Amino acid sequence: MASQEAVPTWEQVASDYGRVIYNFAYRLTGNPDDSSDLTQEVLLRVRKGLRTYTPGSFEGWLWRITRNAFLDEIRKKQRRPTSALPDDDRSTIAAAPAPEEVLDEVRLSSEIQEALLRLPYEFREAVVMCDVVGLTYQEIADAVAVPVGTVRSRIHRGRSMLRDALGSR
Amino acid sequence: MSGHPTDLLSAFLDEELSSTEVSELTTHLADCRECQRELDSLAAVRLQIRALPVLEPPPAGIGVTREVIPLAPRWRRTLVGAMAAAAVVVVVGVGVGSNGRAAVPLQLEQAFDQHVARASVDSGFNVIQVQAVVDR
Repeated sequence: MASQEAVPTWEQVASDYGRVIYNFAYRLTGNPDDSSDLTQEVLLRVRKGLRTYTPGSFEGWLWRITRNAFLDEIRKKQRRPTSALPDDDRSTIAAAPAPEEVLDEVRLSSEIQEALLRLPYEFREAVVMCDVVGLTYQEIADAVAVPVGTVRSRIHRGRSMLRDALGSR
Repeated sequence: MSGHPTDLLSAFLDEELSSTEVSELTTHLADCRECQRELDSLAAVRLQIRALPVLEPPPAGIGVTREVIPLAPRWRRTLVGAMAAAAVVVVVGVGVGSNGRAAVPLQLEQAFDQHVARASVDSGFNVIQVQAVVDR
């Protein structure tokens, strides 16, 4: 039950969510530097927010902070999300044993990343929260402050647009 | 269920439909090849997104993944925090002294938090950086 939820420490949040926050930011921006900045900003906000956090939907609370921090950072930098940087993906999976398969994976992940970045922000955010972060529709709705039906619609439209962009029909 | 309920297909894949919706959609899919193809294509793209590699934050940033787990002992954090606060005071002092008026709207708490947060993931960062400021 929500009332029995234990409030995590900041250290727990940082260790449990640091990587996924970074990946959330990277899939939205395609920019590793911006993603590091965002991760740092989110964890600072979490550190402050935990002082007054009351047990409830922790995922919704955390991702609401993350989303707000992301939008603030974007406004601060006054620039749109940049293009994908496939080099980062390449470094991540370069240790795989078969070079040809690795190259295919890099090409595919680059294509998906680029297609993600071309989605309107609302759709991209919903798809990333669902398929990269692994949030439920209700958690996404809590984080974004929209009805669950809107989340459902955004995810469906986002995936349909990605499907069309990737030519997988 | 009238027409093609394509707007339900993604939620169906995510198991986010009610039992009634699942029942109706399953019945429809059994007789509609068009919706079945649509479902298959959405399932494919969903799988592709979920198969994207999980990226490691760069170690230089405050990416805070594995590095944050071994926190510094409390005495060290306290010392680092105190030094960070001292550095902020020094910086403010320099700002005031350089032009004769307190024109720098420095947010002490934010600066302090940043130093403590960074210290918890980057061993030695604060001591070295803060000491450099203090020594200056």
